Amino acid sequence: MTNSMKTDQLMPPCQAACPIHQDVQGYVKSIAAGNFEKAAQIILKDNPLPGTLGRICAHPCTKSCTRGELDEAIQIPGLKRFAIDIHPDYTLPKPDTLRKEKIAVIGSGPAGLMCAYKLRQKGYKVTIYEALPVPGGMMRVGIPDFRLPPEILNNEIQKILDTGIELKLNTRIGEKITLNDLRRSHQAIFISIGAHIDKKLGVDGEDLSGVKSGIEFLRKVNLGEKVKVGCSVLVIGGGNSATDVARTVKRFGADVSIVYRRTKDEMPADVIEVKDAEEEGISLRLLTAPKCIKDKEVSKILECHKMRLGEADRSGRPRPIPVEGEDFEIECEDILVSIGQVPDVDGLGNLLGVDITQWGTFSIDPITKETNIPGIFAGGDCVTGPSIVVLAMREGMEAAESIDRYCRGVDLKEGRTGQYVSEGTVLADKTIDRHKQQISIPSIPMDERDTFQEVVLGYTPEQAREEAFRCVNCIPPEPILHHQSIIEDIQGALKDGLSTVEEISEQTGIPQKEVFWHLIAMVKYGKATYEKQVFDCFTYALKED
Amino acid sequence: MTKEKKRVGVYICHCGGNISDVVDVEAVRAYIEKLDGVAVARKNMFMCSSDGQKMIEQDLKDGLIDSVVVASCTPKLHQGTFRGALSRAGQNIYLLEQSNIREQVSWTHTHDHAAATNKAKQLVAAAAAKAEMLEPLEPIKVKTVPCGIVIGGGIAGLRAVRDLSKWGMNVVLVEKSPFLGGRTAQLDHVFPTKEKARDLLDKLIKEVIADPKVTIYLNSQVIDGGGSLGDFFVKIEQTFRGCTEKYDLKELEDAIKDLPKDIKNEFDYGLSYRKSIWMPYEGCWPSIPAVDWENFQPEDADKVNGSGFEFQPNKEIIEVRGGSIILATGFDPYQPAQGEYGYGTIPEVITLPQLVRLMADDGPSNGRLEINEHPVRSVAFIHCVGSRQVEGINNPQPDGKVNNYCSRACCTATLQAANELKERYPDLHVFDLYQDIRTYGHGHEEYYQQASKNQILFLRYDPLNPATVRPSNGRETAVSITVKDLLTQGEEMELGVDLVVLSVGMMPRNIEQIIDIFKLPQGADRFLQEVHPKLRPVELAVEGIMLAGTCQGPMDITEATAAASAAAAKSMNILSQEYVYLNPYIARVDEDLCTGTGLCIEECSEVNAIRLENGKAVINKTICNGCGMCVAVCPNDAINIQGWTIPQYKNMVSKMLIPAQELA
Repeated sequence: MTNSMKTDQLMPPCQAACPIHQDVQGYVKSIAAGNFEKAAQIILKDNPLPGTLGRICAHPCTKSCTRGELDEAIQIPGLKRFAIDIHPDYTLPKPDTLRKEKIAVIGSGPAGLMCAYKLRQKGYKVTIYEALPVPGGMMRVGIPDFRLPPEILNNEIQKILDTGIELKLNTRIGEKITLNDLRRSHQAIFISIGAHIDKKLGVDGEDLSGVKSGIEFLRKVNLGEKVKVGCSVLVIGGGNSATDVARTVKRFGADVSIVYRRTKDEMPADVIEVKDAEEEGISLRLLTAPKCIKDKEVSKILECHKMRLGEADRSGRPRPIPVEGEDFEIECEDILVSIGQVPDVDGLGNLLGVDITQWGTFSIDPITKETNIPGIFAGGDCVTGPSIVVLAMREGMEAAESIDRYCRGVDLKEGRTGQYVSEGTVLADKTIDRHKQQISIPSIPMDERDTFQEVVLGYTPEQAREEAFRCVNCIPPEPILHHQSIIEDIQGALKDGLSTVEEISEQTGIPQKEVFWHLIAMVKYGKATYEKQVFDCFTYALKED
Repeated sequence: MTKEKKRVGVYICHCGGNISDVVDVEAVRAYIEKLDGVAVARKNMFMCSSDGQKMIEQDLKDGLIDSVVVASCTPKLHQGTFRGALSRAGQNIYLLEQSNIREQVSWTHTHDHAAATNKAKQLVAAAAAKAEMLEPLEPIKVKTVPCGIVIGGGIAGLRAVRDLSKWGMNVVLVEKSPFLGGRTAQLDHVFPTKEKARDLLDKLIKEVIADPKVTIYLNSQVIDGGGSLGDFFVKIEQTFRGCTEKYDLKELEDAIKDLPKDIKNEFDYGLSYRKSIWMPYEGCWPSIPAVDWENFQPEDADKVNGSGFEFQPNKEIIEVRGGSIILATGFDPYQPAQGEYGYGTIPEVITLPQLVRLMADDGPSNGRLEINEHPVRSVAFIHCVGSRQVEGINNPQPDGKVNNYCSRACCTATLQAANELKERYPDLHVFDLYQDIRTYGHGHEEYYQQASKNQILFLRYDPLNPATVRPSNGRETAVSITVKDLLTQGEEMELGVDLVVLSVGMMPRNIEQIIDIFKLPQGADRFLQEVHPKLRPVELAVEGIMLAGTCQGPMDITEATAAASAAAAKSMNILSQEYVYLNPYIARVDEDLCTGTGLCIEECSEVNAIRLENGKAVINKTICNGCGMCVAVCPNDAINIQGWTIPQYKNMVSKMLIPAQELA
């Protein structure tokens, strides 16, 4: 799947945290070593959308970065972007062997592209059906150009298609071609239609003209359609879509405020996005929840509840509670609602019996991504609800593995857990020079941010090397030390009621030293417990799950 | 044998339970008691305790016994203790025999008590049989020659010389090359103090040459030697250095300006060329040039203008005597094999000692970092070249063995060089390819931490899968290195660099001749081997010969000088005594039986301790080491080793051959 050497063992935290397990240490170190070409090669091994992810990935890797314990995490996406930016003319490998099976992928977003690419690498004939006139899904129409220039994305998509994938634009499944048509002409189908319909606020006045969908607004801007916004705009919502909408509106010269019902700390949007939005002059109206919307001549009145934070809810965030008697009004010209999206399941027409969840998403097996109908798979936002690009790619990657197995008649689940972890203590040389913060990535000055020119500029080679040098090269504990067969023998002995190293050694025939070290490892990984007895002896027992 | 047999007292030790848990001590005692010649057989919980010792003393004083057998541990541990008991009772200390029934019986045969007890009976009976034939002996008294001999004029040799002369002792220093200073003179800054190596050396040399008690022989090779603790002799061959006058480097250059500069300069590890009359550096000692006779052509003599030269390589044989010898013969840097990491085939691959010369102000490029006149923008260091080698991966040395030892000093030296480079040239990219970083010494770890701060990029290689180095062929940089980096879980990294520095280890200098002359023990790593790494760390098994510095194993300067001071102190133990006493276990000739066959003399030709006088063999007591070869060849049984005579052996063996069933 990824670098074969690493899948069987524990990964460094950054690689384990990445949904597609990119070999982060490999390319970061290559950059530090000045070998940028090698870095690009390593990135392309696992990631066919590198420049895109280098710009807009929510980078879960940096949250688990060991360097973060010392001062600040490595700027991993920035380094990835750097390595690819200076090698824009790469090519992706073509399949070695070709297969005759035809696969249909619905939707050309990150999940669909990844699934198509991975299947093509295995030699399948893949056709992507895209409803819009442009490929890329949300990456193209949900993210403003100043964060992800369309040339970058188009270039990368073209390289994926160049491996031999057919793309049919302006082809909405459920209109001229139905799901059933696809089913008859293809061995398998992957549904990755994303989530493009904004959720409703559920308040009175929502249907008034001038109250619009944020994501639809973004789509229109990204497709070059004409849009009209007033001079003062409220954007309701706290996620990345909301900040993207707000920052886009701002570029039309409007006075923009984001309305969010909790505080800044709870905003689901990336910290950097919120920071950029604020810096660009967008004000945040926090602890503010819409109550209803009214017309007032040419403008709108948003009546709001004043909120306070209560106990944590199921998502772990504090629940916003209205403060009695402190309602207020905000006047504006337009209101854009961006509080989350749902997939347009109905748009697909006859679903051939594919199950849908109560949240309006496709119901799938979490490991295989297969729906209840054999041969039909689904992944990405249309399964998970709005999520991050790299997670959608992971869904596409897993689905590709399943589809390959499906076509070859192999068990879809065998050997797959759907889980990759970095357990145990990470070994790292923490004696390195501390208090050396991230090298910040250059971006264009504030006063130039009135166009759709890309805001973040990217590292220079010197900056990239300096940033890459900060990596502490951490190593996960070596699992080779702990032989599974020995652990099983020890578990058996513990089950038989033996409790000391000596007894276990005698029964199993494993040398005492080995028994001891494996018991230590089992305690560490929560598989056994120990108790100190008199004379510094220890007794061990199996840990109950 | 007509001599009267001794009455033997046998004392068997329980050693707490170390012996008695396995051996039935009472059964042994009862068995021994019944033997002929055994007057007393006793046992004790700890024979080495004062009670145990008093038991022996009392029996001797009471006149019950003449000689003593202690059945206990090894003589190494307690021979001195029990000899003390004999001595206090007024008995000759050589009337003691020890039987080791702990290491050789109870610790070896823990599971078979009966057999162990039988073996103990046999061993103790044999010891008693020998003891009844023991004779009082006197140690050999040698008048100490109050002079120390130090071989090697590097930093360790100089330190030892200085320590001895400070104590008021005469010292002879023998140095093979025409100049003092050894390897240290070739270094630049030394860790961990960052001092100039030359400053350290100059200070020491000044003290040494100012002391009239020190005699220095330069250009001198050891060609023979002998003697014993307290009175060694060393024969040296001194070659005339060709010059008699002091010059400074400038004057010298004038005098020899017409000589061709065509000899690879070993002082710069071959990075520069020199003439056949030379001085290694300005301010060296002595500042008298030396003729390199090996490379000196007869026509060279005509090209020299100046006085004080004489072109006759006269050799003089000098014999020096001293009570002790300190060996400080030093090391050679490991010479990489042709093609090892590109060494010898790629000009941009050099060794760490070469880099140190390059970086030195007076080095071949005057301190500029240049290789083939190209500036260097990136450097990779590779650790453990010629050290910690793996059989089957690295090429073996001529003796078929790989250097599997760690050379210790190179990790810190490498990081020091890397840091210095980075501090001198901040834009330089420095890579460090290592197996393990072993900056073990006091203050050394800071070099590693500083290296991190200096943004030196570390890559860890697997010794089973070392880096490959090849020319880049047209790339921006001269050399390409490929290495599987364990720090990124085995990622194959490719580095382009302008210079590769091999951090080479240490090999002992070739001192075969000295090893031959004095029969010195070497370890498997070819370094000289001490008696015991902890209990006798600077002494060789040949008594009176000490070790100082890297002839014993890889060391940095701190360790080498510490060892040298220790060796000097150990030497003073000998030199400060008027007499030393040698073991009496040497050959003795029975004049009645000797017919003067001369076979023993032939057998002893290497040690040369026997001569013929009036048709009888005569032993040189201070030279004989009691090896027993003469005993074996004498057809008349006229020679015996005192304390280990053939009749004693025969008596022992007769007791050992008693079958087990008769032991009860």
